[in-house]
Amino acid sequence: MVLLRSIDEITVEVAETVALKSNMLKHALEESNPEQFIPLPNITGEVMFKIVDYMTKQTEFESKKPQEIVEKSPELEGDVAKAKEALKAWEQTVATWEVAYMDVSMNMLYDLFLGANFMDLQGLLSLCAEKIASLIKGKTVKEIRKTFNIVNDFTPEEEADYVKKYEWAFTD
Amino acid sequence: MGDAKTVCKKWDDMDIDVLVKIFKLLNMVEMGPVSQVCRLWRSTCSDPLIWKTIDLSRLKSNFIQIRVSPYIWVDDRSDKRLFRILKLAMALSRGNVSSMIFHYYLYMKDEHLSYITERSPYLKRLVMPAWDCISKNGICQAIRHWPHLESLTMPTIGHPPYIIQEIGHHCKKLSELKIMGTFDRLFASSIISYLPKLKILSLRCSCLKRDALLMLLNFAETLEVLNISHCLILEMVGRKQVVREIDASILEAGSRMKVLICQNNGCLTCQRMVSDEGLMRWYRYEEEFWRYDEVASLDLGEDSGKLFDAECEKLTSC
Repeated sequence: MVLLRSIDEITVEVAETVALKSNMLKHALEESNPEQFIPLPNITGEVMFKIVDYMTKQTEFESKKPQEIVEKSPELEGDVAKAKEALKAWEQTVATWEVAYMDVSMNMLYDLFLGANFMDLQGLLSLCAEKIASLIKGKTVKEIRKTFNIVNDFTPEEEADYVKKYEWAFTD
Repeated sequence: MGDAKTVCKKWDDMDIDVLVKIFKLLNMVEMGPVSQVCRLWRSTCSDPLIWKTIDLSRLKSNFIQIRVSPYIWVDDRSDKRLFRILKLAMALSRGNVSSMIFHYYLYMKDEHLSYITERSPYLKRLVMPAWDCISKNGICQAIRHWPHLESLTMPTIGHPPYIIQEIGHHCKKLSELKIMGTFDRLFASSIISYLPKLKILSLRCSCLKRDALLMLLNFAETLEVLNISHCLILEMVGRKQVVREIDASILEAGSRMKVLICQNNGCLTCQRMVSDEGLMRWYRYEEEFWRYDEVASLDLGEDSGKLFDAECEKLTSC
């Protein structure tokens, strides 16, 4: 078992196979004493549990992934088709779970994204990046600022100049 | 919009390296508004990681073939559309472009070319297979603005010496050249004279004159890799052009360098070369077919990236 401690002193135990999903933990485990807690200096307890939830579920999904049959002999054709169906169903299950998992507040999304980056958890990092990108696409400048609570730090002259220069591309 | 007590996270205070991971998922048009949100987001939009390669190969000109030079006429709206897209790409990338890839049906004009050359001083690789609508002066001017060019993919042109000389003079780092079309003695001698440092030359799927090939094999001293896969090798016998096999004398002359030939007996690409009589009609085949090269550094792969994807193509169509 692997011991993790968040920035606000909350701890959690995680199975080693699950922990190894994170490249950062993989390296940390090679260096540390198994009795010790691995500190996660940028991550609060709430986010830590959310991340552990991801790693645990992903490990579970991986273990249940249906095998693909690649043999191409006529007798096995039925089996090949069945295997494909099973794989597709599995992918759908994972995708559905991921959509529900990513239904989070903007603040959690921010922390989750940075947390996944810190822990080098590529799957979660991609999920977060995709979610954030989807919140950007199709929005105007003002709408993006509102969604992400960003203050405009350009001067009015700078803004006008930029828009003028590249008029066609930027419609607001 | 959330708990009044919760402090909102600082999306405008993120590390650029992390923010880039999000912006890499956006196409050019989607990045437009993003670059106006705040200073950090604008800087991140120009990050070299995003703009290293601009693959515009989904973009094609709306054109017809005509009987007078340059034999291609491009619709005005199509020209303007190209200009808008280049403007957007140059504005967002802020000089950070290393590679630019264009389709063989994308007919650049002098004004397009000069626009991008002025804004991509560090360009290392250019894939531009259609020069029909560019003037000699236009292409020479462009070459003079790219001192860091290392790799060029170009079409066969009528009189190559002027441009090869220009390249040799201004692009001292050029080590890789790919020519799409036909290849004769004039081309071979230009390369030998003006590009003494060339390491890689790909002539795949071209019509090669046998004497031109032998000239390269014997005199191109620094050439390390010569790709002549799926080429038709032609020799004049009297008044006729005869197709030749790759024989022992060719193999021997090429023993100093790595010569890539097609050894696959039922090769589809070779069959296509034969049925197209030496001038591969790329448009007849799969979308990605023209992108492939046996030389890894020249191969463009199947994926043309996110910047100008199918969605972007739709968003920018006239």
